[in-house]
Amino acid sequence: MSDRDIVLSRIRAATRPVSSRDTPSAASWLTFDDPAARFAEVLESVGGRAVAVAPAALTTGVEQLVRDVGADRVWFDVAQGGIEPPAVVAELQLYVARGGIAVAENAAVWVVPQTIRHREALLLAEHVALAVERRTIVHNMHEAYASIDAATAGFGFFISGPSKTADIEQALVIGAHGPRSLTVFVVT
Amino acid sequence: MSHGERADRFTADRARAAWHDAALWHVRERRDAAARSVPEWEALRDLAADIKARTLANLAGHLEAFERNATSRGAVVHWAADASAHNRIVLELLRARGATRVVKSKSMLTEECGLNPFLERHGLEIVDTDLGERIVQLRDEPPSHIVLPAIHLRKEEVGELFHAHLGTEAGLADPTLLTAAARVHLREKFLHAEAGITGVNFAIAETGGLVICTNEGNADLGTALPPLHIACMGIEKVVPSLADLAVFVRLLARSATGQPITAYTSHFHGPRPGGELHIVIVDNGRSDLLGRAEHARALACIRCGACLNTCPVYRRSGGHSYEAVIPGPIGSILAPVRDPERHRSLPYACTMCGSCTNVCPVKIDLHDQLLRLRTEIVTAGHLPGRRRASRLASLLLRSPALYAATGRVARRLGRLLPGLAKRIAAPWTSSRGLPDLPKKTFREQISSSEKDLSHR
Repeated sequence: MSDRDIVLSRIRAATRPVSSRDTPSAASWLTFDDPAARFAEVLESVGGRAVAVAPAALTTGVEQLVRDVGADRVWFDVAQGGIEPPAVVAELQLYVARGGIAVAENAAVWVVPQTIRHREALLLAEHVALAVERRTIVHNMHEAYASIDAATAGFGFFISGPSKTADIEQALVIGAHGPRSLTVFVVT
Repeated sequence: MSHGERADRFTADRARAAWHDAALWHVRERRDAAARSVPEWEALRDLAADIKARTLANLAGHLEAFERNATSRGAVVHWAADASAHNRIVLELLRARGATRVVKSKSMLTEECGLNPFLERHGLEIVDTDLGERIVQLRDEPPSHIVLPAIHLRKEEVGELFHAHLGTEAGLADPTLLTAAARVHLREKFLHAEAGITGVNFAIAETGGLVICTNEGNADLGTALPPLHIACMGIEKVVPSLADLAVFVRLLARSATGQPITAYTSHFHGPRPGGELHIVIVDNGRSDLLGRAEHARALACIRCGACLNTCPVYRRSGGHSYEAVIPGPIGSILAPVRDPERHRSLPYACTMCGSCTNVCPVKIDLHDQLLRLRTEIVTAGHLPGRRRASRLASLLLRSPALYAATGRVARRLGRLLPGLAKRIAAPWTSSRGLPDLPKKTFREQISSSEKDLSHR
């Protein structure tokens, strides 16, 4: 017998029918009066920063961020005429990408990188910025999973704040392996 | 050696033990605040427990669906009946591609299977990329906590370790600077890795996808850069659907560290473009646990670590005192169920306070199971001394005359008790005194007051 058959037959032999229980109702999940405000508040609490901008002001906002972090190796693939990626993604100082939906309860932004280079850039750049549309902010993770198509994305992740660790004496350090800062432009 | 004897080694450094206790209690408080921020928290826990119960009731079916869907998305699914089969599969995958430099993100399963030493014996370089895991790997010791692997260490010790291995300045003990040094060291490992191994937080039956949660982004780097991704999962990691996943994603990080979600929650459906995704599904004793009616609920565990953080014994004795892959309350069930002789002292590393059961996001009946395990261990004869003590107690309690006699003797011995206690239970009595014993036993007090009453 193959290991597959051994494992499955052992599981079948060990399985007992579940005593019938009423499935708890999933009627009301957490919602907020102002999901965008909650999103910004939670993002601050996890070490990120939300910046509300009008569509026309996104480029100006990014230029300001480039100056703030003092970046000269930038990949800006959000707007038309975006800057081309540098030859070595690992040397990126700032990467600006478009996010999908955002979640108010935990400041997570759903991001589906279009290529493996985009995926690397989201993790290797010193600083990352995401642009999300204010109207796509949902209240909670139940709504989030109902509104994304995670399965056909191939790879997609929720990003909530910059990379972090507290593995040395529980001292929070921002920028463990991935970006040292995460800015989310909330486009109105 | 028992848990208590091993705990002595940890508590010998009282400052460290006190720090450890306080640091973990702080994590527990953060968990409480996060739980309170969700009004439907208790409904979520009920729902999570229910999803797990229903999934385990048809586990084979869900695993087959997962295999079918993962395969249709281009992943290759492997099955391993035990740890050695798992290790062999991983080694063969790496060898077939000539990969010798491997990065790994956190996985308690590979810890359980002893994958690192196995691959090293076969000449491969395997680097744990979670900072805490890397620290304990460099120290050549197991993690002491399932979420905070190096919580037993002080920053000065990490400083010395990094000085020896990463060439940081002697005496450097600043967590930010030490983390920065590890970042540079591990970035190099990521960029040159030929394969990435990860654990799995959740596998989704209906889509064939995997979900991995990290704060550092190490699982993402370790799978985005090298062309080969090997994901290792226990059979209990499968959940039916993405809608079910939402429930667990809301519970996991809040229960673990008090965060609303981990920084990265990554969904893998099929391999990366131009790459390969291999998924190894491992039993290694889990189906035995599934067949144990009294303990099967332990398979619902999502490895958040909340029961460790809240446990008064874990916080004060440290993870290594359990000498099990997974320490704390959940480990004190998993290890003795597997090997009751070797881990017989673990169910006793428990005050029966029930705090673990109260914080468990999937409502495992932890302290009830620990109590049952004590019975099972004594019944199976793994603790003969305890059985004799119970027989003696039963004998005394059945005979009032004998019981009264022992009371009188015990009161005489009472004068010796403080000194005796100091010798037998030194750590407990070093900062605690015994109250003075009353002059008369309870029975003597009762009978003299009865006499007083009859005189009136």
